[in-house]
Parts: sequence; C-alpha cells; structure tokens
Amino acid sequence: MTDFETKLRWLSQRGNLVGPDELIERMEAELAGDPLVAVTKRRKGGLMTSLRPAPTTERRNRPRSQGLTWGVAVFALILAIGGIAILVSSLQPDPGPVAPPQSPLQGTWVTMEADGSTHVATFTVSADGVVELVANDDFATVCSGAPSTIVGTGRLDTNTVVFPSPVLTCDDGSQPQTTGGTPLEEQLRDLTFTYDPQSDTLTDTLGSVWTRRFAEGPDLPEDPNPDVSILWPQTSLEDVKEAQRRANAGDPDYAWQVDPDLGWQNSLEEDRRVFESSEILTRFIREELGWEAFRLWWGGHGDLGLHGPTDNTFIRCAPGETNSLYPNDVWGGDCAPTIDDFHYEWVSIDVARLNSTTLDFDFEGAHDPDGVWVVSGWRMLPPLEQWRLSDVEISGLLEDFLEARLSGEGAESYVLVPVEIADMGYTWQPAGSGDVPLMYATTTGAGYERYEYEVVGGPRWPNSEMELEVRLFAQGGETVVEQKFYVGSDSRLGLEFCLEPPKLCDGAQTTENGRPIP
Amino acid sequence: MLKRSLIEEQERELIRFLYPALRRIAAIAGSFDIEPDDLVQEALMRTLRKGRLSDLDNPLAFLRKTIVNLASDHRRSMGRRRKALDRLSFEETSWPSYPADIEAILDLPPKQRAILYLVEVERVPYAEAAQQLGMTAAAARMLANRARKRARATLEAAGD
Repeated sequence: MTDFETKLRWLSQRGNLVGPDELIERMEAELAGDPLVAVTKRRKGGLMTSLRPAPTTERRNRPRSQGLTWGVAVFALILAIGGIAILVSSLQPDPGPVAPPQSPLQGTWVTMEADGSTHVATFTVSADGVVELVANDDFATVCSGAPSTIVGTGRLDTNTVVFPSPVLTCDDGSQPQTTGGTPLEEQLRDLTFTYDPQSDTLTDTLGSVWTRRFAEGPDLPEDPNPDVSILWPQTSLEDVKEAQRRANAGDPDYAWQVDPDLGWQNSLEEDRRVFESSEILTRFIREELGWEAFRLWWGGHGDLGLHGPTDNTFIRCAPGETNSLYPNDVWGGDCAPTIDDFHYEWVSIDVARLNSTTLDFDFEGAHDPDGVWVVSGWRMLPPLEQWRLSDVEISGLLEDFLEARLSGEGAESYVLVPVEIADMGYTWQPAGSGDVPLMYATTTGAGYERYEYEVVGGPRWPNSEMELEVRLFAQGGETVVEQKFYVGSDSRLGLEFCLEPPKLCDGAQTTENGRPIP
Repeated sequence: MLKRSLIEEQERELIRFLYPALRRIAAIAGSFDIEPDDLVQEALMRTLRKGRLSDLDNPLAFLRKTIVNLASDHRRSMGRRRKALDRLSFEETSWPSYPADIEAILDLPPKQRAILYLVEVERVPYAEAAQQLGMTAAAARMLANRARKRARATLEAAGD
C-alpha cells in the first residue's frame, strides 16, 4: 500500500485528454440542439447512453419474505425503527427554547449501530417539560442509504421522555421502506428514551444506549501543518521540535516518544502487540483518560494516515475482572465491560510522527523511525455493546432454516444477503428467491432428505460472530450440498450468505459433492 | 457571419480554470468504461442547464460532487448490467483486467476513490474534501478508512 498514492495519481491521468476548448465546443453543440456533434464527439459507449436517472436498486424490487423469524424480525425492526431512534445526525445550532438547567436530557446524544454507523439525536427541553427531538441519519437503511430525519414532540417525566408520534422522512424525498408488515408510524409509536443518571446514558425502547455527543480534543489554533493537531504530550510545534531535539540527544524524558514499531503492521496479532505496548498510546490512555485496563479493538486498529496511524480504537476494561459473557475469548475474555454487563467505553486516538531531520510533520515523517510521536486527535465513541447468542438460539435458528429447506418453502426468510448502500459499504438484507443457490433441491432437482450443521468458528467477542457449515443430503445420501453461512456483526438478525460481492468471503460458498456451485 | 456563442466568455474562462481539477476527479471516480471528459461534460451540462457556473458559491465543489454522483449512478447501472449478463451466462464477456493494486482501487465505490484521491494525492484536509464531496468531515474520514481497509482486503485476497 505504500505506492497507493502513485496508483491514484496514475488513475487521475487516465483516458484521452480532450481539453477544455473541445469540451466547450461539444457543450455548445449540445446546447444548440445539435445531437450529431454532441454525441459523436463522445466516445462510443460514453455517458450519453449510460447515464440515466438514478436507478431503483434491485433490493427495492425484491419481494419481501413473509413470516419473519425472531432473528429476521429483530432485523426488520432495527431496519425500520432502528433507523429511527437512531435517527441521527446533525445538530441544530440554535437550540430554541431555553432548557431548564435541571434537565439532563438537554443536548446532543449519540449511539452506534451494529453496522458501525453513528447516530446523533438532539433533545431540546423547554421550561414546561416539552421535549423536541430532531435526529438525522446520513445513512438510513429505511431510505436505501439516503439521509433521514426524524422529528417528534414529547413530554419529560422525571427521567423518561415518550414521543407518541414521531415522524421519519427520507431527505431525498423518497418513501421509507420497511421490511416488516408493520407500518413505520406504528413501529415508531411511543418511542421512549430513559435517562440513567448513574451512567449518564440514555436507553431507548430498542435497547440502544446513547451517550452524550463525544468530546473532542481542542483544535490547534495556528499551525504550519494545519492538518496535524498537536494535543499531547506537547501542544505546539515548537515544543514537539524541542522534544525531538532532546530525544535525538537521548534524553529519557523525551526518548519514550520515539517508537519505531508503531505504524501499520501486517497481522492483527502484531498490531495488538505493538499498539498495546506503544508508550505514546498507553501513556495517553492511562495518564489523560485515567483508564487502568484497556484493549485494542480488533476491528478498529489504526489506519495509516498521512502522518501516522489514525483511529486507533481502544476499549476500556474493568480491571482484574473476567468477561462473564466470553470468559475464554482470546481478545475479550479478560476485558469485562465498564458501563454495565453489556456496554463498554471506547476511544479512538490518532497519532502523528515528526520527521526527526526536517523537524516537521511532513509525509516522510510518518515513516521516520527516529521521529517522536504525539497524539494528534482523540474522541470518545458511543458505547460499544457486546452480546452472545446462546447455543439454543443458534441451533433453533439453524434447525428452523434447514427444516424449511427440506419442506421446500420459506427458507429465504432466515437468510441475509449483502447489498451495497450508497457507496458506503454493505448492509445485510433479507434474501430474495434465488439468492441462495440450491436452496430446496440439488442441481438435478432432487429434494433434500436430511441435514447436518456445524459451528466451525466462534462465537467471538463482542458480537457473537461465527462461521457455520450446513450439509443437505439428497438421493439417499448420494448427493451432498454443503454451504457456508455466517453470523456476523448483526448476529441477532439472521444467517448471512455471501452472495455478492464474492470478495466479502473466501472460497466457494456452495458445493455439490465437492464441486463449487456459483 | 460569426456563430453566436451559447456559453459566455466568463463561463468559458471558468470552465478552462476548473477543467484540470474536474478531469482528475472524473478520472478517479469514473469507471474505466467512461472517458473522464465525458463525465466532466455531463456534469457541466447539467449545471449549465440550470444556471451560470459563476453564480455558484463554490463551482469546483459543486461540480466535483456532481461528477462523483454521476459516476456512482453509472457504476450502479453498470453493476446491474453486468449481473444480468452473468445470469445469462455470457461467460466470455470481457471486462478490463488490470494489475491487482489498480483493481483494488477500481473496486472501490466512486465516492471512496474520490475521497482517497483528495486526501492522499492532493493533500486536501478532510474537512475541505468533505465539503467538495458533500459530506461531513467525519463521514469523509470514515469513508477513507473504509476505502483503505477494503483496498487492502482486496489486495490480500489477490495475493492468496
């Protein structure tokens, strides 16, 4: 990835260069209604024919499964309402009515969903106890990835506020799409938030836990490197330069800031070793955040930024306690939650490295093993939730699914397939007919007679991820269809099947008598 | 007799000024089956039909955002087309093949490619890149992180 920039530069110069003047000529022709000139000057197969109004995504047209099981039902609920309570996002600079000082609800709150998206809601509490909710989601599943806004008016009763009839709208004007049979307004009815003074958190009726909008480190007022904030342990470029000079001279008060190992590593295990022993990160966490025990988040170890790894995410652990939900997990077994039995505090930290020669935060500095590190950004994240499916739950789900396959109908409702959303990645949605190959019969059309299943990996902390293998037998056992399913980060929602894109999963997902089936 | 220009000289000058930056982002965000200049032209035409470029607060940001949106639309429609061909068993359908590291970048959605290009190559701060692509700075960071991870995963998969 070191020549990522080179590849991007190369890509940015691809194609036949037309130049602005010919482009203007083309546009003149098009504006003058001379389609011959306008079109023929474009390359064959160009945009004129291929660009059309924004397409309706396939999943919108996909028939929805009926009779959702518990897993998919929860999924549907979260998709529909989840998006809502959830509703999230930008805050109103003008808070409107003045909130009574005793109202702890007042302000902006955030939560994180299973898909990693963060949602923000703003509550404005007026003196008479009326609460206005404005929440936006810039990645609303119910709006097919478009932003959504939810507004509602409720009344505060001690530590609880109920919004009888909140309204969700998609910002792009489209109609929200729900996956269950219950109308959205009904699912949203009596949306309730309860404030817990002890943890200073809100819990909504869907079980999401909200914290106050994360604090961020202060911005650096003026700096010759405006994209590098210098927050800790120094707070100015001059101080960092002096720290570098002293570190170069071997002064132990500053030499600890030099860490040649810190940076992008190749393996997760190596990342954990390096990041959890990094002086700049661990000292900051202990001395500034006051955390005694912590764990690198395996899903959020640092990305290589321009000046050093960013978004290095650490989870706070209760010191000396075992995680009762995952007592034997390699990563989370010795990391018990700190908020309650299921929720953790966590923080994302950016670090930057000075170039020990130029004494500047230039691009080369990120790779200079002698440069001193500083914390250049940090933010508390909404609480991380852990959960674990029981053996009964997972076997129940699998057996219901496989029985449906034997009976020849209804199995789709147990399965989720990946769908790309608005260029932001993938979400999992209920499968449609034909998404899972050989769902009810072999390639020769023979129905299944019996099945087996096996948990081949997991469940893993913190969200019960696991890999499953099912085997279906037909024709007296002469034909065996094997398929891989996953219980992913949305593990309470259903069985994930890697249909597309194939890069989400490794290897053939379906085989018949050992032969891969596309 | 001189033909009367439909695009005012002031607008032409602005197009000439913006063109290099627009073309680069079009080359980055567009699929390989789109000529970058076609994408730039489409974005300019859509904008000019609604009014003058010079009336926009930030024409560069507006046009870059439009280009990326057009590229995204195109990618989605091409994805469906490709899927349809696959279902019809057009096994010999030829899609361009490139080295793994280029493929890893091309595999990213247009918006992710665009944000990566702006921050990694043009060294645009996240906040500014976010403004140019119509998103929050936090979303831009998240997108860039996802893009790096996804490209890395693609490369690792290719290396297996």
